[in-house]
Amino acid sequence: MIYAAWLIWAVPIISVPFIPLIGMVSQRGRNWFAVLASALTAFIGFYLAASFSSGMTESSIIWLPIFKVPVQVLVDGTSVLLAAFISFLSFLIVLYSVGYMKGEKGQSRYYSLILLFVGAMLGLVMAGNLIQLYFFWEIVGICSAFLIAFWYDKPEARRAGLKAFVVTRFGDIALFIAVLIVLANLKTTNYASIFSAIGSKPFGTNTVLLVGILLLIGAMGKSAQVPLHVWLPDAMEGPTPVSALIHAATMVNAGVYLVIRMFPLFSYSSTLLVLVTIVGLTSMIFGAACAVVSEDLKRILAYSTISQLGIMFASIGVGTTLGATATYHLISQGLFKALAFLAAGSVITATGSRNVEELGGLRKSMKYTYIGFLFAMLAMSGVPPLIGFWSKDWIVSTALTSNVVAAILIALSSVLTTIYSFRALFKVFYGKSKLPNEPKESSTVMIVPIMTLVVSVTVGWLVLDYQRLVPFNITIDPLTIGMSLAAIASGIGIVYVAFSSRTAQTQSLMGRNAPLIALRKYLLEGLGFDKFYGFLYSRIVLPLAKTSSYLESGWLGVNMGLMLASVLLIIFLVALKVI
Amino acid sequence: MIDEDTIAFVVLSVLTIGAALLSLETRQVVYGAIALAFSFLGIAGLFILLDATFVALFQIIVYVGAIAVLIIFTVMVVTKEVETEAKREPFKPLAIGIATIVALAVGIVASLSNLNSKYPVGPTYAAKDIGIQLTEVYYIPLIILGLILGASVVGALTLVRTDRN
Amino acid sequence: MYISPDQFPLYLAGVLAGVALTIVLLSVTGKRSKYIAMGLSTAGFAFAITFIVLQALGYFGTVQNNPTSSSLFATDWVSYIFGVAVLLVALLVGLTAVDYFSDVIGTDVTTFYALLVFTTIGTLLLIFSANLLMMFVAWEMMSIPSYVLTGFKKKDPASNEAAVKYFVISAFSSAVLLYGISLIYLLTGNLSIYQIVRLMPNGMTVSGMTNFQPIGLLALTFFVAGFGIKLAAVPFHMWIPDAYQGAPTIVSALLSTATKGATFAPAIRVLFVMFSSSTFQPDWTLTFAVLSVLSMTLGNFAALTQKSVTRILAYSSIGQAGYILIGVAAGGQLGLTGSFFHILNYATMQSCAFLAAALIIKNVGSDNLDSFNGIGKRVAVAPMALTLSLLALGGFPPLSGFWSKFVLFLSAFQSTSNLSWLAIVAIINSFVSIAFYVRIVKHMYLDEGNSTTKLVETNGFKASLILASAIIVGTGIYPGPLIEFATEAARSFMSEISSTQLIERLAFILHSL
Repeated sequence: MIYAAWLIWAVPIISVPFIPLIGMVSQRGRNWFAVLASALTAFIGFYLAASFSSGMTESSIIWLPIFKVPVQVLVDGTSVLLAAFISFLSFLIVLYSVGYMKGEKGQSRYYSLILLFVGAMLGLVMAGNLIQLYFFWEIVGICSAFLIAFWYDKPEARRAGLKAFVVTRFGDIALFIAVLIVLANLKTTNYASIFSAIGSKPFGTNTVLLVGILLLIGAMGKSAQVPLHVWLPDAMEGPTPVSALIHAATMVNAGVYLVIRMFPLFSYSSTLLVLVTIVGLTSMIFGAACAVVSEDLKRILAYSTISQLGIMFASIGVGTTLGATATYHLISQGLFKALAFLAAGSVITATGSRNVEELGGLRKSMKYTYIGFLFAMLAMSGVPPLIGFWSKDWIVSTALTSNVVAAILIALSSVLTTIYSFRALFKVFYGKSKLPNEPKESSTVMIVPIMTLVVSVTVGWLVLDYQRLVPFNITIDPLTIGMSLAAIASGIGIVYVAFSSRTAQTQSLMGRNAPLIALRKYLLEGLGFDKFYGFLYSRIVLPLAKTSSYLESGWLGVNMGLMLASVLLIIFLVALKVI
Repeated sequence: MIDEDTIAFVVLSVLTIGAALLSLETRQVVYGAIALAFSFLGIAGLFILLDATFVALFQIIVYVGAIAVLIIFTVMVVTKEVETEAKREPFKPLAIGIATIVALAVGIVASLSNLNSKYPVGPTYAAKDIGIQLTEVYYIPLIILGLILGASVVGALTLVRTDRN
Repeated sequence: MYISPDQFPLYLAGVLAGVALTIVLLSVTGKRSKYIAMGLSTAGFAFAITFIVLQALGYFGTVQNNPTSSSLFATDWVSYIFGVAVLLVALLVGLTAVDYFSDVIGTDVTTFYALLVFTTIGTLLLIFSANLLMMFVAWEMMSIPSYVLTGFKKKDPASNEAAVKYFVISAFSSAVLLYGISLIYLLTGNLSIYQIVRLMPNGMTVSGMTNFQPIGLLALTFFVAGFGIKLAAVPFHMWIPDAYQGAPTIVSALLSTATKGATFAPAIRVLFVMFSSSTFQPDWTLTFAVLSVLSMTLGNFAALTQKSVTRILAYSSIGQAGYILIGVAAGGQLGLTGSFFHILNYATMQSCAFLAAALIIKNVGSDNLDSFNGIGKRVAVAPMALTLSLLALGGFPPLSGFWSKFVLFLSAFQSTSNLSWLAIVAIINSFVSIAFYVRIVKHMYLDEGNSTTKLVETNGFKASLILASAIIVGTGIYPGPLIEFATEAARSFMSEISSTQLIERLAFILHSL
């Protein structure tokens, strides 16, 4: 059983170099090899889940001689469940890629990066200590940046790739410092050892608080929480399967996973939990608000991801279920978001447009895609009995018992969620078609994953209820059901009024009312954080850079003079300490 | 306080540093080379002051006798008498200032360590002792110095050789 | 076969000197001689590497010599790992020189090899030397041939300027170093690094001085300045960008890695052995922390606005010197391990980057960033190797640079002198440095070039780049063995200091009470 925990991430990583090699011989062979590798991974994932008994097992090999840091796999319910989920979803997405990427150039690069991406994410989930987690964390980051910039002919894609790379690095720095502090204090980064050391001498309250905050910042960077969210909406420039991977299976889940995994550390201090809740709630509301006004189909989905991840953070911060609610919502979000992206990708390949204003009336011509997108939106809004209903209402129910404010805010955000979901659905699939030609339904290889996900979204909760890896004992308050149904009804009502029955009035209202226009503009710009980061660069980094290179005059005489002056400086520095 | 050693030291220092400055600053290469020879002579004088007669003789034979003369010959044979053009050197005062401060700092530190009063007169080495040291203890560096010389010749030849096909 | 460890470096130098002199003689035989020279020097370097490895494994008898003996050389783990690193770089450079200088007449290329071997002998002796006089002679042996290598493109004014600049600054460093050596001799009447450390307290009886600390500090300063110039640490870095840009790019690869690595070994010996004497109790943590912060910040920030790839790499070399100094500032076994490990990784990363850049620059005729546009589509190996080495320099897993930075930053956190701030500055710097490393990658792969014709990649370059990339990736995935070696080297230092010094230190404290 334990070797499966090694194989699950080793298989995709080892198959990476074979992709370009097979690609030299046969293009088709390469594509199906990638599918095969991910299918094998998914199989191992299911095998692992099926053979898992209980408790926590570790297996390790010494990796670094310093402090005897090992490469180790940690097999417990959460890691196995998530690994199985990630490998399953990745398999569907790779399969979908075969259809979506047909005729694109540079596919060897694409499939190698995808497999490395998935392998690194699985390695991250199975990692038994923080150093190993960080190792894979960085690989995930690099792969995502290269995949986002995959279509490098487009300047926006290059920019988006670089942006994802740089912004997530902010979080990475924090995580790196946290890892170093833990290692310096405890001489180990093994999870169990960290948890057992919490509160004792070298790892007292202040250190725990510091490490917790740094870990939280790291998770925020990866999981695109405000204010480190700016990369995610732009990351839409990548191919749609990549977006699906980033949003549903890999990248953004890493941050949530980190917080779930380190939950004993976060729960040690109530301050930390409050911080996690605040970060989550803020992102939830801002993400949803931005999604409501966005006009790009994939951007809507991206902001929705930010919002959904915010819900996960908030549910961890509420802190009554040891992160189980977040795990559940992570899987649920992964399923319906993957479905939404795959359906959106199908729309984009068929029509060539991502702007919701340009699309419309696709319900008839793209039946399967329509069903897929419909189910995704229903699940996202939390319509029973789809999986989104269970995860979200469970979160609200548990929050009600401990943090009523958070519970009410999450329930209220459902209104916004329903609005943006159904707005996208109506604009794309209802109304009149604004396209010159009738679009064609996508190929079977793309429809199969979509339909599989439709089934998963519908019956996934049964499977999650059945499995015993992480025993979710879902209890939903009847009050919650009432609240969420009311939210969904009002959301659909608003969408119907605004975009279907009284479109003209809505538009004139939006056009006239100055605060509304300003709000809309502000939200469209992604809360203005881009501007702030630009300011930071042009006002602080650039002047420093210019000063630094100005010191470099290239005149030999000046150089010698400065060196002599430096000798003086050193005499001074040495004297300062000693004489 | 002021004895003849001090006076000799000051005179020799002025000679050495002044000649070195002159060799850098003069616009005519031949004068520069001659000034260099005087600077070397000054150093030889300093060695005598330190009771290192053998080193002083060596300094005179090798540096003044061989190197400086070689430079002068080369300059006279190879180049025509050209005056280098005066260049704009705005940082010169600054450089001089910094150099002076560094020299002063070193001097102050040296005098802080009451070196001049407490340091006893060390043993004077005869030429024979130096020879023994070189061949018995430091023979490896000596061989390496030979290699350096070889490498320098190879390098110099590479740099001056003109391409002809 | 038994080789005394005291004599081991002599055998090493002797073999290489034979190779060098043979190559010099070869150069009269004509234009084809450059291929023989390449073969000979490659074989010589490979032999020397094997020789060191066999010695380290104890094949020739005693592995290490007693450093406190009167031997001129210290044959220990520091020498072994640095020696192998330097020889590896020389080998990589040697493999590429024939291709890089394809437009230079053959006999000149032959002398290039001779000079390369000469300077490598200098670096090896410098690494092994345990005596200040030996160190100085080796220092010159390393420097003099490298001036010629820097100015090897005789008709290129930039190359000439670089050579002159390097020569003047390097002469300054030699002078400063010699001054430091003479002051130490004044204090102790001895030149052996491992004996001086014992003699320092007795220096009082030799010179009859009571207050000699200022002189010792002055000597320390001069050593720091002399080594700092070759290590490219700010504020002694000014010559670096011009010299590296003007020099033939493969020579920059040699200067920025072999010279720097070879300087680091004696610097550590001088600082951690010679100056560990109880009489100073020198606390240079602050000094090196400041130098480290300056180097990192200036190197990384100045690189941001550069337009030339070689200049970016030159500034990166300055920035990396800053990281290496973290370990010196932090001290202790972990700090030294980090520094050693990072120097080893840095040698392969930076030389691989310079060599890959050399190939591209030679083909496109300019080192401007814009002329690197679209190179990714025109050649296969060079941009890939450059990308790998740049990402490794930036500290990304799973490449070698990540681990050594990791150990260095950890050592700062672990340091008893509370250097967490230094680690945080370094991590932020490491973040900033990503910007310019990735910028080169972006130009190569993402930007559209104005030509799509395929470029020729010669076998010498290919072999050298693939070898270096394999080391970078291999170390990144499994860093264990290299860290073990670095730890072993650091341990040999620490134990030497602790055993000889602890008692003396205590005695001195009691005495001063």
